[in-house]
Amino acid sequence: MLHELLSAAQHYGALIAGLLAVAFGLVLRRRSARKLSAVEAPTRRQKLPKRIFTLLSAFGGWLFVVMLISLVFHKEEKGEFAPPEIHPKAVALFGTGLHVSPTLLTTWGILLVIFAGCLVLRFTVLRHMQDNPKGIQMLLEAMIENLDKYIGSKLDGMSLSFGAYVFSLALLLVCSAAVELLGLHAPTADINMALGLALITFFLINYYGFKRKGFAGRVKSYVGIHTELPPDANFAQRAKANLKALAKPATIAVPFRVLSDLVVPLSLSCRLFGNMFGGMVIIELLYWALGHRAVAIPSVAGLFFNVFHPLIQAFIFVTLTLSYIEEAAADE
Amino acid sequence: MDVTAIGAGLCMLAAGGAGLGMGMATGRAAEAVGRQPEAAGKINSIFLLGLALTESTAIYGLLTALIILFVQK
Repeated sequence: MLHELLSAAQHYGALIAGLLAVAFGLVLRRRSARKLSAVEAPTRRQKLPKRIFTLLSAFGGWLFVVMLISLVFHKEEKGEFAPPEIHPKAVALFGTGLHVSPTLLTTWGILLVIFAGCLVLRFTVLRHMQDNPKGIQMLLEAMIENLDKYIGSKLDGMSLSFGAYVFSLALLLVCSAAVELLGLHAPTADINMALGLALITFFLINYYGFKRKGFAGRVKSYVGIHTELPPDANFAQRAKANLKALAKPATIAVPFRVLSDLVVPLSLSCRLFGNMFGGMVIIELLYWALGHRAVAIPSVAGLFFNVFHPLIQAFIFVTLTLSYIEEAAADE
Repeated sequence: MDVTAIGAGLCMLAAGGAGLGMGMATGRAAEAVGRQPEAAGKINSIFLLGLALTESTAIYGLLTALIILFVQK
């Protein structure tokens, strides 16, 4: 009873304090502004009081709004900090015995949304394509054009069909980061999802590496020595040259080269996962530390940790994918 | 005695190295753009890629710290 009374008193006290801070801050700010207008070309030091009072009134306003919200909605006090899981526990689907990871469910949801968006675009914008683009069509064309140009600059002379893969990858990464804004556990903040995406990239790197250069070429590129052979060399000549290349001193670097190629999925997935998970933990910690005062401030922090950073990460993931493929498939 | 927090703090030393590297890379990129402003686009893309790779060092440290704090108990 006493505890409740104290907490209510605290609430109302903070509410009134916020209101007072706003009032005093505004009044004092006005006074110092009037004083400031008398001085021509004021220095930083002279401007300082006005700035402090502006901050004071802003802080008072925030406190007032927060306390009002927590009084109206009865936000609970902070308890023990519950850390997020690196892979969320499976939940039972529709009360049946089927246990499904929330990551999978969220990803399905994202895919459905993307699919619905594609269908809508297909039946509205793509039906009425014009010669001089306008509105959404222009946006789409600019997106595709820039992506093609970007991929062309990375993968010189390779097929532009990479655009489809790269664009879907980027869209999935951005959408799964945006899901976090809705309060869900982002799929890419699950180590399994990050590893899965990295494995797809790993498969593509090796597929294009072997397709472009063949097995011998790939081995040679590990050794780092490029033997000059006439294009019509027979098998014996090729084998001899390859063996000679293998015997050169650069052979000592082979294990490291192989290792650095094999570690690609690990480094890609850890980079993506670490970024997403780190951002999520920081936001959770902020919510926990602010308790029922978590208004306005987490949204500003979330702008960086949940919007800007994931966008950069999506760009990085795509860029690294293209760079690795280019490196694996490049002609000597 | 619970000393896992100290270990997690030590992990974050990785951030120091990453910060040093990122600062050096940024300085060099600014220098390069100052010398050749017409190559700014190319320098920018190389710079961003390098920055991401450097940053991943700090990310690995952060990941280890988080795992020590929240998973390994």
